[in-house]
Amino acid sequence: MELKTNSITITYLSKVSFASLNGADKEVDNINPIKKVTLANEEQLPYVSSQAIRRALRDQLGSSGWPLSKIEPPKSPKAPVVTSLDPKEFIDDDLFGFMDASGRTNRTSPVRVEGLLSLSPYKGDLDYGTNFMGEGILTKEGKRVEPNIFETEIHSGFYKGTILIELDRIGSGQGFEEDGELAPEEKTKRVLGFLDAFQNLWSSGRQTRFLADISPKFVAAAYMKAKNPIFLESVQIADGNKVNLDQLKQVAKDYDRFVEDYTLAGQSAIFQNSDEMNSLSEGFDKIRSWVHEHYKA
Amino acid sequence: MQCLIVELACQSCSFRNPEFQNFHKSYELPPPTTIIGLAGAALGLSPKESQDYFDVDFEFGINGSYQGKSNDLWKYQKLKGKEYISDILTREILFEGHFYIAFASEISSKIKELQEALEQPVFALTLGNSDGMAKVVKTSITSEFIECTELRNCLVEGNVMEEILDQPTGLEFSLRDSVDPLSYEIPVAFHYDSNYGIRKVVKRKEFSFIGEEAYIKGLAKRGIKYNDIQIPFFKL
Repeated sequence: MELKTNSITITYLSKVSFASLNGADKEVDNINPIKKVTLANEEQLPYVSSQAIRRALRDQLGSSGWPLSKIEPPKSPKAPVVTSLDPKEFIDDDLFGFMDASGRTNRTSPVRVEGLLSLSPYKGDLDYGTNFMGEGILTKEGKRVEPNIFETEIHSGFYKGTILIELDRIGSGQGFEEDGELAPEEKTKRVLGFLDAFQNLWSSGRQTRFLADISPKFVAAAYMKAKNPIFLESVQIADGNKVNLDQLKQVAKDYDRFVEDYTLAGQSAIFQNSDEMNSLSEGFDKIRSWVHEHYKA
Repeated sequence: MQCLIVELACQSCSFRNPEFQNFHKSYELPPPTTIIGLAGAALGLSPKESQDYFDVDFEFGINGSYQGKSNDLWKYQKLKGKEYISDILTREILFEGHFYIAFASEISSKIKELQEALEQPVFALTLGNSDGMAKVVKTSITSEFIECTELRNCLVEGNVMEEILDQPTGLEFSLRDSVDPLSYEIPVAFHYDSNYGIRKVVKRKEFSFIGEEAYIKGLAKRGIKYNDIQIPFFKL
């Protein structure tokens, strides 16, 4: 059977210098916790949920000028709210999918977004803050408003995430039955728009005090004949901020039958072995070329 | 009879226990419905079609473990009267999972079809959450079956606690000290009003989750051995 290209998989590293990326449920008043995984050895790894990444991507698309789907009331009283359910009109309904429980229509997202998982444990660091918003103001009873103290969990390190784009389902399939699928040019435009949003990824939470850039600093990307995130668990950081490139090349070789092309690209300012990888610019140019290749007439 | 074994890796996964509401607790292993859904996604089938595909002729096996766990806070929008309000729920998520799934059948053409689908899935494969991507590490086919006598990190048909109590001699076991039960009655078959429509449970079956820190030696279950891992079979 002849294999045809159908997807792009990207496992990437973000580097966070000082941030409180994704808020967790509070267990103690006046401490703002971050989401963490607890391992068997009781170590805790901070993470950013896939929900949060999706939200950040969607917001970035909106910031780039793409019209976004709106929240609409459900068709029946007990059903949850829905989006516009219009993937032809709205890029986010196309890329991120939807479900209409009352109408029983759905579109499985052709863009799969794994969360960001830290490669280093949380060490218990807290940022101490004081809310002085009420300073100098008197209450109705004439008393001085006291400042509120609080603490926020903070973390620094590399985070790993994975995105898989099902190229053969962009602009087609579920939700496009009535209107027909998009033209190849529009599909190309949408995927390129998504890649731009991803390359400039920006967390939407707690930015006032912690400017958190979660854009990719290293990408292991492959143009695939199978929808398989082959680099999912394979990207690691060695001492001296070196990416395990040899192991990643072996992964690509192990899946050679299904890999049309791949690139390992990173920022020289961050990785000590950047001379062994493509620049990030070259990496994203390669990924964009795959999109053009896939949708060419 | 042939058996297809698929080795899967994931960064995050969640297998919701339907008995919990605002806290979406996860099973420690993928339940039968999850592996049917996964295989159905690979084949490009709807939920109803997936169930029909595996309705007869198949036995299954599940083995695996994970490295970490989190209670993930979710925020969502809902309609109250004429206003949208935010609400929250907590979902238990397992991290760095590694699983072995077995599909056994007398029909070798179905096994081959399934292998090809898992290597080249129609939909990207996930475990539980729609974003919990599953990497297909390897697939292989075997016709060698064994009696599994060392049960670790696996799903077992029935209530193993009752089996242990029925024959306490000759067994070596350790069942973790936990508030969680070992056995659950799990939905295994549904009536669908359409391919993607509303489903209603029509059949439940009891399974035991031999998870972290638990093992049973001496209780024989038919299955396979793969990479020194014993995977007992079950039917739906």
